[in-house]
Amino acid sequence: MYHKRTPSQSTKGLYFSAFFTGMALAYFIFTSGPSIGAYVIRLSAPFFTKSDSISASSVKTDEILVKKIQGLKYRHQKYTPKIPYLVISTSDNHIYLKKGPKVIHEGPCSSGSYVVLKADGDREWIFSTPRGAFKIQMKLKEPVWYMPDWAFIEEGRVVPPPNAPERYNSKALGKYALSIGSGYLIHGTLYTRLIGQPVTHGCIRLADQELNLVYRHLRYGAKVYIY
Amino acid sequence: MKNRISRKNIYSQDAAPKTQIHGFFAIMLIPVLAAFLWVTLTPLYWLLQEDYSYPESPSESNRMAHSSKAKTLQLSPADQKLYKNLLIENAYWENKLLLCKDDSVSLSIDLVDSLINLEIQGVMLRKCKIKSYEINWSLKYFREHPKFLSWLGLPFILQNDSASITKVPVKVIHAPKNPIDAAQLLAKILPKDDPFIEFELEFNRNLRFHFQQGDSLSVPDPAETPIYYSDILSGNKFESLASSVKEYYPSRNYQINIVLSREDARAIYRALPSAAKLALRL
Repeated sequence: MYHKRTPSQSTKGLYFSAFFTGMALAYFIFTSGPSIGAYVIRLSAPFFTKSDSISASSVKTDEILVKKIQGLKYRHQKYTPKIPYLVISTSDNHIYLKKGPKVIHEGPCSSGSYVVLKADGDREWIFSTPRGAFKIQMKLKEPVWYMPDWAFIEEGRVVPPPNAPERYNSKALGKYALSIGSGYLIHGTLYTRLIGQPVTHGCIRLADQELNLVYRHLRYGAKVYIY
Repeated sequence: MKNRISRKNIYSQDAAPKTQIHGFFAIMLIPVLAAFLWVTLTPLYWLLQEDYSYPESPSESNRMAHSSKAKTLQLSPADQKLYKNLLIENAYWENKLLLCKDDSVSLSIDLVDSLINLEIQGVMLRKCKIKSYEINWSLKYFREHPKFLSWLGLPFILQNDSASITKVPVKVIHAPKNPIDAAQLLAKILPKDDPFIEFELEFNRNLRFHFQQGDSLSVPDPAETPIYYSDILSGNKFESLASSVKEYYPSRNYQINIVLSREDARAIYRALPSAAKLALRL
């Protein structure tokens, strides 16, 4: 049976389709709203704000600005040391031996373990590597390590009296050591399998290859950046 | 008489479709006009609320000097954009020079070149490639605002941070009783693998960053996702629409989401000191 549509039904259908078309168009406007909004702000800004909108006298202004930016870049480059320096990442346990912007050598290292060692009598030590800019203050060949109390406590050994012969260790620091101040050293190690892991007491440990290069390239006063 | 009646009927039949067409357009135009007014009037309302009081930076004074020299000639929109980009770059490098005077690690974020640099005293410590980034609409609007350059003019200062990893991975160990106990300590000292790395940095002047490891941002943009009727019926899309309405309304929260490699994300978060400074180019 064919049921004929009444005029009111067809009008309703038409109005519904109008509403949906309108909503679809509104959605399209709405999704592109932010870009329209940005244009509105750009166009209307001079009318609403004081007269500090962007204007320029001539193309020369651009040229002056470009030259100024180049000057700023040049001034910024001047902060990079010309002599070799060392960048140490404690996050990756990696070193970058650099000269200017160029990397001379990169390789693994070991940095502070962030262990807090607690002993009897409320004594405690934190084994962290300091961060910031440092300078090479001393360069040592065949360094001897004076072992502090924590070195014995950490190994479960009895702490000997000060200046006892067992406090002096001539093997632990490797062939070279470079001091960056406050008792922190860049040195070698006997435990090469742990290089690349954060296991030290705050010093920077290097494998022989890296240690030789660092010792050779870094002068007294050379910068060491640790982050 | 017959002719008159028939003519009247014809008129009424002609008038009905016309009314329907008028009604059709009227109904269609209501949501269109509403959307149009929303997207044009909200930015204007936001623009009128001009209560910024940013300190005047060297770049700002420089820009004002340029403006004061300006004669009647106005630049074309394309040149104006180029000129503004140059002013932003100028502000970025001036800020970087200011950061050189600091002894602590600072951050330079260059969204134009997709680079993040960790620096100390002007020396680059780490160069990180940004894999992808997203700027919220408030910041996009604000980029067009005349006060944008003063906002960008001085380095930003870190005020707060939160992360899925610890800033300092401290392990507390009690002194072993004997060398045998000590030998077992090494396993405790070695670091465990960090979870998924993401962190937020909140700077002054309402600038906020969300960093996460990965290849791309995991959250899709609701505006770019098409609407399906099944979604509407299930109510999923209404939520995303509501959030996008909120997103489009200009606010003073300027957020940038950045995706980096896992190593870069970890290095940046752990290297930044409290009150770290930032130079931004976008």
